[in-house]
Amino acid sequence: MLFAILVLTALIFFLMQTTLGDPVVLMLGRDADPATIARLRHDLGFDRPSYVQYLDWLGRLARGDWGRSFRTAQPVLEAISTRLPVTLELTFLSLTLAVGLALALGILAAVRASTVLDVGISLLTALGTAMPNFWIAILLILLFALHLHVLPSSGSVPFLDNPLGNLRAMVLPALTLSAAYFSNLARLTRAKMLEALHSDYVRTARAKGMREGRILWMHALKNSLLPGLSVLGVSVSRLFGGAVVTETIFALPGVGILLVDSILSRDFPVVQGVIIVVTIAVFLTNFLVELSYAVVDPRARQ
Amino acid sequence: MRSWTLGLGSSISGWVGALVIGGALVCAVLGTQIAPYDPLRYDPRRVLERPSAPHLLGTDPLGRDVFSQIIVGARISMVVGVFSVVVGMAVGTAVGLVAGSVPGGVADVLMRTTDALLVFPSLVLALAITAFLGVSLWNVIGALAVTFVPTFAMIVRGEVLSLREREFVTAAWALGVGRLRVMLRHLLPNLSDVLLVQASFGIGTAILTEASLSFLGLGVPPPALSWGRMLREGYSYLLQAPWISIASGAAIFLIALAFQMLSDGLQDVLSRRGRRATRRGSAISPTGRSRGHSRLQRRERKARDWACDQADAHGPEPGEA
Repeated sequence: MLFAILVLTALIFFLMQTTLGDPVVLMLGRDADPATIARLRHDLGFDRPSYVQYLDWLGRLARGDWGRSFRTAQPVLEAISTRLPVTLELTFLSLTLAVGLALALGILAAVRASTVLDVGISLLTALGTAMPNFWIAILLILLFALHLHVLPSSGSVPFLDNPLGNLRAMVLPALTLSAAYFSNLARLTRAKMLEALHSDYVRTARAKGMREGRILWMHALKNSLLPGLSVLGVSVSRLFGGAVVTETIFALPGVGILLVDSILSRDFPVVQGVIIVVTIAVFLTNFLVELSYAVVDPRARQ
Repeated sequence: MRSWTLGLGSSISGWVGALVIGGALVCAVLGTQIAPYDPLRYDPRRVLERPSAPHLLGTDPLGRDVFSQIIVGARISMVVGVFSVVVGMAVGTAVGLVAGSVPGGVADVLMRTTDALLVFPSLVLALAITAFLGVSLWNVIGALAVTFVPTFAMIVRGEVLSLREREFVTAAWALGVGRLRVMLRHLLPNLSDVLLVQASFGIGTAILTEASLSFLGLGVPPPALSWGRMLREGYSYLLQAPWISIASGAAIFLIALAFQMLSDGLQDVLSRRGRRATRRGSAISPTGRSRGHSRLQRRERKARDWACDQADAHGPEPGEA
């Protein structure tokens, strides 16, 4: 994990260096006296080898000095931390929704395999994987906000001010964002449940006269959860990507919209900050998923 | 037989996908020649018209025909999809081949870097790259290509690791065939099936990501027509003219679905063919296409025949059928 974070931060650092050009020339202008340029470069430490500059930059990041926004002069860390709760809430709700729906429909489809219900569920999940989330969002807005007038189409209020209003504003974004992950997970759950239901240990349990419900929950489900867990780790990372688009459509003041706005106005310190936060979040969740293997799979504990 | 069935055989979903892709390709190549109107011509008298017989999908806020824009917009999607996957596949395959067949530190560093990029959200990666490089057709293609490198590298390495244990490769090593030659003549031809399936899937993903970038205002800049940007522009008129967003979204959805279906169809057919081939005990012949007479080629042919005999004698390897 540490290696991965090092690779990605190095990539960001060198991309920044090559795109921005020589910062001293940027400060003093092209016509400045070469001696002055050389002196300032030495004073600011830009004449050191680039790996030393990279390590120095990493050190500043670790101490919480992430620079200031070019646009608003707000410290980058502050700009991100005020917007992070919205993104975290959105991803958390979407993930909960996706996992809940996927397990329910996946199990249902496996238990009622090859019936109309099963076909309907597979059709729904096939649509979910191929439909771009911005299009799902637009169709949902058209239906629930513009025609039925039951849910707001954009904006959000802080959860502490108005919890109900906040959740109402989150329904459509969370549905949008969860669609693709729910579909993948549901297909996987169905396949793994079917496999488990046809396995020897389930047949043995049935032969012993165990109740069908107990077989389903205690035997089949537990064994079909494990592959879902590894997909979940990758899904969480994709959720952050989807959150960028979803926040833009629903005008939710989160980190995703901050990233897009900063890219459009070439506000590099903020772009860099957001990417670092996403990197840390992605690797942290993958780390947690790996840890949770130990809880679900006794074999992993050894 | 394979030449005219494109290797799709009896896979219905594969054929439906191929048909839709064929239609999109025709639109992409002919573009303005088959569009009923000039997609960029303003017509102030026909602003935001509902879908009707002369304008099948209505008009946009500038009076431009939406149907014509959809037809011409196929070009950007196809160009971005195909080029980014081809570039990403070339680089990824090279990385995977090296990581799979060269032992030691290089492979380790390559694969750990690939792992790091693989779990990173590809849309954010593409956004970051376009942020630093600026927005243009080739930068978008480049940014998307980078997001494909880790996927292809991972898949190719996995395949190479299993091929490496096969007799025709160990025989080639034993005969002292050079490392580069083993990679290009023996390993690469056996990767074509996996690469084909993944490339088809990848083009669909690339088209979706390009549409997302365009939707966010960071895709291919105007005047090139892009479905993602149409969707964005239509979004501002969602209440008055929902047909703009619905039509452009449907176009993106259909083409992405078509590539997914093609990929699934290819996967089905190839795995069926793979099972048959394994029963016969043959790998794809590395030198079958050219019956060369150099000493090296004769030696390799012998090695291959020996490998096939071995496979015939022992039957299919466990785990392959």
